Amino acid sequence: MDTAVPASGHGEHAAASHIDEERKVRLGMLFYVLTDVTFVIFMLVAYPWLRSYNTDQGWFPFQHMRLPDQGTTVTLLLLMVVSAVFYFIGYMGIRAGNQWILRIGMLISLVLMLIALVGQIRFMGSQQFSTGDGTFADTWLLFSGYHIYHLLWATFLGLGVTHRAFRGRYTKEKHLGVVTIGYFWYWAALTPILIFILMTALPPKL
Amino acid sequence: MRKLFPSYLTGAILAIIGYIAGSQFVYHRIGSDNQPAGPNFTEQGMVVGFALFFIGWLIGIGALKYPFTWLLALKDPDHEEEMRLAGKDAGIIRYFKFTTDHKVVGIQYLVLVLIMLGFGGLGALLIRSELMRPGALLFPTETYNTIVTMHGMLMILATITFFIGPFGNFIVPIMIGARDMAFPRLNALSFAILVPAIVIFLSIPFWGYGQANGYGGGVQTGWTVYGPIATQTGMGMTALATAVILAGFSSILGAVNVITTIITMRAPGMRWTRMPMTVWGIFGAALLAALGTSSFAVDLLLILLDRIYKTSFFAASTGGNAVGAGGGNAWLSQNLFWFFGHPEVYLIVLPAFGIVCDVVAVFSRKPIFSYKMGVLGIMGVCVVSFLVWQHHEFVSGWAPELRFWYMATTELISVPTGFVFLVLLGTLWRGRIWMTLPMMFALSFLWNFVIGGLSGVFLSDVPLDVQLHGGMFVTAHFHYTIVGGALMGFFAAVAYWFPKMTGRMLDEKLGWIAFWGIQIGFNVAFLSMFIAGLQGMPRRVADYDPAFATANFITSIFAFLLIASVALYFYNIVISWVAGKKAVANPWGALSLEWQTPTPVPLENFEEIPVVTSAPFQYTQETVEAEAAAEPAAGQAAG
Repeated sequence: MDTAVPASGHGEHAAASHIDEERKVRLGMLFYVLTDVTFVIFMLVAYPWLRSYNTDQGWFPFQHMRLPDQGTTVTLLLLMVVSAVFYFIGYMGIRAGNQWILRIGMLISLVLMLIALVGQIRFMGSQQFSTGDGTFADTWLLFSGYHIYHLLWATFLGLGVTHRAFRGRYTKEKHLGVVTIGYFWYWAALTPILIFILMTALPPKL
Repeated sequence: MRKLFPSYLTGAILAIIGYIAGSQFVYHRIGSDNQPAGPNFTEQGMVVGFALFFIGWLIGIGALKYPFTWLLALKDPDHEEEMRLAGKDAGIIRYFKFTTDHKVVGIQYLVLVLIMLGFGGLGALLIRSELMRPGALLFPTETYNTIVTMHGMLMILATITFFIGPFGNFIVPIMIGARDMAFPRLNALSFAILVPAIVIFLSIPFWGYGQANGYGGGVQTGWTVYGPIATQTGMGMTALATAVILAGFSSILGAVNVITTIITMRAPGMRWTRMPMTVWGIFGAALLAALGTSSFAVDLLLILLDRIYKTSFFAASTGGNAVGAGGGNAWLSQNLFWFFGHPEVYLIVLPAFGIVCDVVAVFSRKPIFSYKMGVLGIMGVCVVSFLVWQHHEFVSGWAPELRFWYMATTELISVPTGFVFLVLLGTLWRGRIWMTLPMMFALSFLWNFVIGGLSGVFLSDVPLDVQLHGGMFVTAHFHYTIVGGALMGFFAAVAYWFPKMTGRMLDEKLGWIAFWGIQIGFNVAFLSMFIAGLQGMPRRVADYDPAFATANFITSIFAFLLIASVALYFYNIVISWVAGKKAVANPWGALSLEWQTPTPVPLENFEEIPVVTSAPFQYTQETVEAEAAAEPAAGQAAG
């Protein structure tokens, strides 16, 4: 077999492993989150688009239709924000080498996220409008459904990272999984905030 | 026998069980009647069935083993386990399993792409058979429309995949001095996702015939799948949307993997300015895939919601199958589609730009002329491609005041494209040309893409586009760029890297016969199609005015020659793979890193990672003269 160290071409001698594994994984995860960001952006475009065209007065056709309860919306949003905060606390804990702060942070974060998941499903199902009640209703249900999709992914990732935390799989030196899953976690918390801002800036009723 | 578990066989079994379980659950437990005011349970059952088909497939091939190992905090796989997963000592069965070695994944992609191109070519054969003479000859109109849609979409999926899949996976890691892709498991997963996507896609014609909805079966929208026609067309649309969403997911996973690999895993000394142009082309394409695919995915998701849950994203008012309050807007669909749809065609062709530059350099025995201009050209196209999409909507009525802007940007994109062509011509100039099969295909790319590109400049002008939109001129234009350009680049890449990927040489004689058949067939067929377009023939029609008969007859005859020649090329690939002349490690005398490895390439590519000290293809007068003195021994294995 020929030597695998090239004797010609544009490579010459050999080097030891040069790859920064942590940088590689961080960059990859950031890119994957970025692709989800682009998906959400394209999805959010539907709201101002359909609202501004208001084709055949179909954006909000039934003026008596009740809007989603603002209090519940804000509560669910705050649950996500607090969940992200506890995730960050857990991350800071393991950065300092404290296993128990990591574990408690991850556990509380997971529990809050699960409450948000159940709450969002019930909230979505309890609305007085459904598909076919105009395009505001359609976009609201679309965004709500996509948020639930995020929460389902977060369930899987949160269960994994919490379980692994309790098994002592993360250390001060080695906790890349906490970092990279955090990228997704913070994005999952940010998404409903963006939707809330959009719907506040461009209210449903024209 | 144990080696078959898990494998694609177990994946197929669980996939079928998953489909049956999912669809039957919806039909029998949730609802079986298509009630006007409720969801479309038939299509809901299809989607749930497809989802469980997909999940069953992943479980059956063992793709979900590691995520659950991670979830349960079990012991991480050690190096031996990773090597086993990469197919060490697994023999040929590793090509039929979930295998993480990037070279295996590259071969898997190559085979799947050839199958996709074969089915797409079958569609082309049927289309040209129908259009050979005026009159609806062979198929009912709905069937013809389904064939046109499937041909278009399948070819798009194949051409999106045929560089990043086989060559981005097999060649790029070795070319940059890496042992594998950044995320080997995700790499295998991205291929694994594409397989059920294609299976679902190929099922399109079989859905919905005989249904009471009055729209027939299959899907009749064309590959652009605009809402609201996509909402109203046959049940095949649900299969198409599901398949393409899955394929898009695969594409995104693969693209991010390629980007991360190129950024983080280059060998020491492999600066950005020392990368082969192939890597730049694939990098640019991966960026487009990662950033733009989501737009189309959102469009398809909204179409599925309109079809199944009676939303009104694209339905302006009630009517047809819609029962909602309307409010939808068809332009939303067009813009979501084309925001991805235009970058997507550059996603197809950018790797061809890069590969052709490298092939021309090797077979001209010259460094690439003005390397930085070539890179600027590729990345310039990448950026500007996001700014041009509205040229597909010049006659749609949407935002007519923006047409000037998009005309300008569309014409502007020919500037970075021109850079690449100047680089090619400068590399060829006074080169010591070696006419091999890869070089012939590379030169044909140059000829064909110039014609295709120039015809695009005509279409970019609003006054001309108003006349030519929706006609066969457009069809001829994009076939010249995609088939004449990208597909020729693909054939060049196959011919060039075949020795490294398979250890065999392609039969040159068969290759040359196929080459000339392809060129003559393609050019006459599509030049004739330009004429039909200029005469006024619309596209996507099963029947046409007899005034266009001559042009169509010529197109069909030479299209048959093209299809037969492509089939001959595929035959050459198969026969050479099985029984071709054994190849030496570097039959072309190329200087890039992948040609410095032995053939077959070892599992981890390099015993020790090389240090790169110069740009690739730094042929000098001395190396060229030494090679000439050593002929016919050196690098003549191709002959």
